[in-house]
Amino acid sequence: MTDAELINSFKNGNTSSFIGLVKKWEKPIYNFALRNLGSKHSAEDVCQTVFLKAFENLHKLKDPEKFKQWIFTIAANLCRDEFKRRKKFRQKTVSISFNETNMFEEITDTDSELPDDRFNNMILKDILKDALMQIPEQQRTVIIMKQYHNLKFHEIAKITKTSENTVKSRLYYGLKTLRKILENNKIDREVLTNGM
Amino acid sequence: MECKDFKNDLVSLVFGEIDNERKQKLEQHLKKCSSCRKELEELKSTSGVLSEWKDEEPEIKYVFTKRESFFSRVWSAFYDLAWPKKSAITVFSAAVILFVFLSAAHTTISVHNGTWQISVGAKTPENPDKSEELARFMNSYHKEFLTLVAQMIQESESKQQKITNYKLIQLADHFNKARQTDLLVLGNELIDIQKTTQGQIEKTNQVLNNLIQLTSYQYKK
Repeated sequence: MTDAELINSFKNGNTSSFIGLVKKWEKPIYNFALRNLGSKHSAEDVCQTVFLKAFENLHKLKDPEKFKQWIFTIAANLCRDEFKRRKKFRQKTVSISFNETNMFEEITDTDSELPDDRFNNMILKDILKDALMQIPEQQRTVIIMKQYHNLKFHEIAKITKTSENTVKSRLYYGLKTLRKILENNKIDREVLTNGM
Repeated sequence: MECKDFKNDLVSLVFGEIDNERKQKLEQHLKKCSSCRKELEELKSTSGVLSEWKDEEPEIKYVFTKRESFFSRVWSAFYDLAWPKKSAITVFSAAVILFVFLSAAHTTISVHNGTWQISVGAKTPENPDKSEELARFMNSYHKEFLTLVAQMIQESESKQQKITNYKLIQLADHFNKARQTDLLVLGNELIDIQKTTQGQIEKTNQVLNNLIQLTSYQYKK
């Protein structure tokens, strides 16, 4: 069944149709949140909340064809909220950390819930996670949406409430920054293809 | 056009979302601009590196409950019950509803000499026995009230009478004492007058005796 069919069925009172939507979109939403927040735990929380909100508000979705855009909007908003919450928490943590740079770094790294084995740079996923967490949140969101979820520029623009040009610009600068970070980690396509 | 004008087109090309017109212009630019070619390769490479992070399988357990109205939740809870409980609740609910309905309809069920009587009406039927009893009660209550009021009036009058009598007795006593005082004073005055008159009479008698003696003496002479 297509999204539109499942949504219409749900709207007609067949609540179990929502399970079909969850099965189809759980993985993309979870991975979007995981790459955006860098933490499995946070990604699971966001994913659950996304589907809970979707379940409660699906009847408000006028155009079922735009479900993908709609659910990614919910996910992006929740990720942004989570990021703000972390930022606030980080500021509190800094205030009690005597402004020691090393200590700050340690705390913020812990707070951002980077991989448990963050020192194990042999794992590419962790490096990418680390790199993505280092770029501005707006650029990261755009990169993840385009790179991993193949959303159209106009869809990302609507989700992030910006223009298509801004989306492209964020994507461009985000990729460039990532490139620099990866270069610092001595990671490039060649290394990847030859194995680490 | 300068290189900076193509940066958005570069990402559009990397992700295959570029219209033909822009694509042609970009390709023409790339032919003569090694810097942009390098940048395109870097963007592609970075995108390629990112694509190595494969999707992970989530392990989330969802619990979705639709917000239902109170009645629908009650109905669901009832629906999930076992048959004995369901039957018992049904009978009990029916009895309650029947009772409420009969009460609302002012239904009276009574038995007189083995005969059942059921009446339903918009108003509660008046029971003659009850009304008579009520009237009797009201009557006796009224009488009792009147008797009480009469007793109160009588008590009040009696008390007033007693006060008046007491005042009259006090007044009479006062007059009596005053009369006795007056009589005593009058008696004393009369005694004094009597004494005075007696003395004068004695004096007169003595004078007369002396005069008689004198006259007799002169006559003898």
